[in-house]
Amino acid sequence: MSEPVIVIEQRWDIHYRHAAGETGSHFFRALRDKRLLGRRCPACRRVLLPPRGFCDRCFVPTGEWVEVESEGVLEAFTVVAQKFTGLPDPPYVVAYARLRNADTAMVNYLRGIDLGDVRAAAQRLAIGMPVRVVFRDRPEGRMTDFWFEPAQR
Amino acid sequence: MGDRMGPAAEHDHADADALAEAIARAYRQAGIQDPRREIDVAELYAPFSNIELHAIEAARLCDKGQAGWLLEKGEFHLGRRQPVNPSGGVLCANPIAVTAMVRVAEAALQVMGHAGERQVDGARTALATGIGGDHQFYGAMVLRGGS
Repeated sequence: MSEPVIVIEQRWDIHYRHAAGETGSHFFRALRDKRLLGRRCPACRRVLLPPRGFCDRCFVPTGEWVEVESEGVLEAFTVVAQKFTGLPDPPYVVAYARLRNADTAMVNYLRGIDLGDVRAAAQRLAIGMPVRVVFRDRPEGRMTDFWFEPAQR
Repeated sequence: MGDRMGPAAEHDHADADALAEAIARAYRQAGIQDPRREIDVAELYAPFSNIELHAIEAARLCDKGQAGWLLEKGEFHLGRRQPVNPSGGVLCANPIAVTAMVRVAEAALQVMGHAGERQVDGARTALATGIGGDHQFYGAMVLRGGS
C-alpha cells in the first residue's frame, strides 16, 4: 500500500456550449441582480428551485415565478478532500440547502467555515443547520455567482 | 437529488417510486391484482446490485425493505416460487440500449416455454422492466403465454 500510484497526464479539452432553455435563462439572468427565482407548480404548489418549466410529479407546466428567500437549512453535504481538475483546491464543501420558501434543495459550495481540520469541520456541519445565500460582488449569471454560508440564528 | 430532500419530498432516495408506478400501470393493464401469486417470473432491469433490491419491491414481489434478506435466503432463485432474473440479469450482461428489450425477450422465452436451462417450470405470466438514465425513465411490461 505504500507504493505511490502513477499519475498519467492527459489533456481532454472539451468545450461545452449548451442552451439553458427558457426557464433556465430567466433564472440565470436574475442571478445578475442577486435574486434567486423558483417556479411554482400550479397543481402541487411546490416551489421548484432550481426552477423547471415542468413539474415532474404532476406532469403539468409550471408558470409562476417565485422569488426565493436567501436563508434556509442544510439538507446534505460532503467535505471534498481530493483534488479534481477544474474544481477548487481541496478541502471544500459541496452542500444541498433548502431555502425558506422553496420546496426542493439546491446544490452549491458551502463556504465560511474553517476547514483547517476537516474532521472537526465535518462534525460542526449538521443537516438542518441554518445557512444563507451569499452573492459575489459582480454576478455574471452563473451558478458560481453565489454560495451558501452558515447563518447566525 | 434536491427534490428528494426536505418535508416536501415524497420519496426516499432508496425507493424506486417511478418504477413502482410504471409496474403498477402495467399490472393494471394486464389485470394483475396479486403479483406475488400471479407473476411466475420477473426479468428486472437491475444494472447495479442495489437496484435489484428496490426493483423487486417496486414490483411488489415482497414488502418494502424485505428484498435483501429474501434474496439472501434464495427466495427469488430459479426453482423457488418466484424466480427473479433467471437469465442472470443485467449485472452479467448490459448491452446498453437493448438491455430492456432483452428483458422482454427473456420474459417471452419464459412464457413460451423456450427458455432452456433457465426455464421456470410452468411459467405463464412474466414481468419485464427497463430503466433509462438515473431514476428518469422507466418501462414495464407484463407478458402472458398461450394456454
